[in-house]
Amino acid sequence: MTLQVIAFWALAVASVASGMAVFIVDSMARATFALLASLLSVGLAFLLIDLEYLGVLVILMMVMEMLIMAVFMIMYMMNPAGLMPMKMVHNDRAAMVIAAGVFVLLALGAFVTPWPRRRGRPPADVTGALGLSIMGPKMLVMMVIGVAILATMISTVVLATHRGRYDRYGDALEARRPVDPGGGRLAVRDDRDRHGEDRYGDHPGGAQQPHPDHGPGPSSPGHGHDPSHGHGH
Amino acid sequence: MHEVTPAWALIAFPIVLAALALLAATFDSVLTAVATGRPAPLKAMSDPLREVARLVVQQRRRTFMPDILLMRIGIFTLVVAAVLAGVVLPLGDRPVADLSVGIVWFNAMEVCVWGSLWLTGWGPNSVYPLTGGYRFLAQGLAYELPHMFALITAALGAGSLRIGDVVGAQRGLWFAVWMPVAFAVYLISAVAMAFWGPMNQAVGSDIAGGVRAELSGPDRLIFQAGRYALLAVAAAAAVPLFLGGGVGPVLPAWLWTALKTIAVLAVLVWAKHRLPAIRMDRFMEVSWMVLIPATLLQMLIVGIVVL
Amino acid sequence: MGAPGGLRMADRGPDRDGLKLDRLHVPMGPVLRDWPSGLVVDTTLQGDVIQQATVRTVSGSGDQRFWDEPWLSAMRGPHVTRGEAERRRAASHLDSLGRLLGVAGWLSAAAEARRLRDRVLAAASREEAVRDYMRFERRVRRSRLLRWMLRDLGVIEEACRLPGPGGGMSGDVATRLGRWLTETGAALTAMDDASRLEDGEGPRGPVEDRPAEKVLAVLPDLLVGAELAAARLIVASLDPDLDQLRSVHEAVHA
Repeated sequence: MTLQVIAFWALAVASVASGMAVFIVDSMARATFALLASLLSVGLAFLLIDLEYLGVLVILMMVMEMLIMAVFMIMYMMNPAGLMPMKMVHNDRAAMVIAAGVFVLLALGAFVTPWPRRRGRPPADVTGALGLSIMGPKMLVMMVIGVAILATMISTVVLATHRGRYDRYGDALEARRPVDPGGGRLAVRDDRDRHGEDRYGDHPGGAQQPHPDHGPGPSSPGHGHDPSHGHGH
Repeated sequence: MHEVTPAWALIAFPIVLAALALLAATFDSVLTAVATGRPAPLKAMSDPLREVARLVVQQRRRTFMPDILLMRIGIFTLVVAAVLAGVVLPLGDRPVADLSVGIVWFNAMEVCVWGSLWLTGWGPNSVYPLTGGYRFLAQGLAYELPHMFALITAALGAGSLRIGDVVGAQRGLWFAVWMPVAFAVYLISAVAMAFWGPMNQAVGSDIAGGVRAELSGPDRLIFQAGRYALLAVAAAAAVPLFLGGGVGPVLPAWLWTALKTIAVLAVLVWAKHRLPAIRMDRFMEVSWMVLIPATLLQMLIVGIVVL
Repeated sequence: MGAPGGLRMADRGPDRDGLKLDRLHVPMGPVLRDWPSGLVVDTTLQGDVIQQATVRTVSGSGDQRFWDEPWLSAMRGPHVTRGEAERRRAASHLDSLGRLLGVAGWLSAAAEARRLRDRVLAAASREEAVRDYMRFERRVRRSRLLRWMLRDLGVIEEACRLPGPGGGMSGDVATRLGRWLTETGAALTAMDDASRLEDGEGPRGPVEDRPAEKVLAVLPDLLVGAELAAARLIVASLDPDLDQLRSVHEAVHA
């Protein structure tokens, strides 16, 4: 029992401390993984009360979730290794007040709630009992939530992407293989316009279209392009 | 945990894991030597050990403004995840840790590799490792759902998430025989989770080694060891889940487990040399449009049979 | 915000999904595995999608044109047999194949291509070379996985056909791989031809036209919009021979 208590407090402290670290570190990557550490401590705490399935599931889901966040992080910030130190807090004072307020409210809630006394003993197979509960008395709720989450995910993706199956397989879905970006293509100018791919037109380095009959041959092609990109590093 | 794990298992487990990892590395270098036409390819058997010696003494290279802390966390997580994923697999009759949710545990530890590779790729502040890092996340998103469904199908067949029970349920017939789709999907995802060829684009040679491009010395050694250990664990998990575990005639359980594991491992290493790399921009669609429905259908069939 | 460590920070720009994302400036080359040595493609990346590309070369090429040598020498006058030239052509294509298969991550097939190349250059007999090559060709052509990975990449439309083996390069990466395989087979069978070499149709097209120049001129257009892995495959499938470029000295006198 005492070992359990020690473990609980260690995990509780680790969870809160790494939660605070999220706002102290100056790199987005470190903040992301500090948050992950905090969530993993919570997952491990589940194991202490013999909720093995839920605990391991929390670990599994949190790792996946935080790493998908990491993908977005790279999208918006491609300088690896926290090259650019970043402040992880904005609007410090108000944020502090709100955070403290919410903490007090939640802590108060934990203390004033009349927690029910334990009746009986936990079942031998907690995971099985959980499954029966989800698929038994709580089935309606779980089904509704499950479908709602799925519908939300699908509609978010549909709203976010501007390419649908008609763009990929043609207006009558007649193409055998989809047309996807990312493969690179050399075409004459108007063809590219038809595919709506002319978004690089305003950049100096891109889109210098070859004439169909003969390749454009500056005497020294290796040096013929935009010199401003000459030296990357 | 009702039964106490015997002390010998705690000692035997890391030794067995290391031996399997070394075996995979040895087989791989022999196959490489054969492919490149080296005279006396069997001499390549000592290559992995030579590489270990070289990396131990090699001086570390440093990149410009790296995040060493995150990189090291990533490298160590790879080994730790492989070991922790392995503890629920039976060596003979019983695993080191006989968790009641062993399958979910295995799954969770293997997902930690996502974090490991991402951190290792991010840390050095270099483009190719970073690219490798997010290539692996794309790979994770592609393989993970079919993989989970394959694991759950095995659990469904046994009616338990405990790996020991899954073995017990295969006394009559191996799951690989009557759940072939789940087994095939598991093998594909085993290759993918260990970022092993042909699913090795995260460490692909087209981006100069990807995640491990900037690793040198002991860092690289630990990373490589973790990778082979992960491959060994991924192969070993196929045995209790689909190939009847230690069940077999004449020989003792531990020997059957070892033989089957080595066979699966050999197939995975051999596949690397037979197939070109699979890119996720192509595989993703197949994975979600073909493999997920296929595994769901397999699960439905297994569910009906079990009922 | 300054530039930490004196490095240029990523700036932002629109991406193909209508978002405004970070872009990073990354030079590819001049030294990379299975990459035309000396070629540098300065790219602007968003994630691993190339948004802009410019091509330059690191000098040092132009005097020795190993792969075109039989044809150039025949033009200068000395007697060169067709068989000799075909041997060089086959080796050149096998060299390119080795690079493309290497980038495609099929290391054992790449190694086989290179071994064949070395043996063809080292005067292997026709029967032996053809027999071993047939086995290699069957193996590569049979791989549906490879075809699935290479098709629809780097598509060159017919109107933009570039100079290349067997009348020019068009289609996707898989098409160009197939063309190399066919041409290599034909070249190997003609390896004993003792007649005099009279045309200038080298392994990468007419040697006098310096096909590499045309390839490099359109390379940025091919690469824009491609992902990093696709870009590597596209470059490998064109495999420009940088020795064909005019050296600084030649360019001055041209």
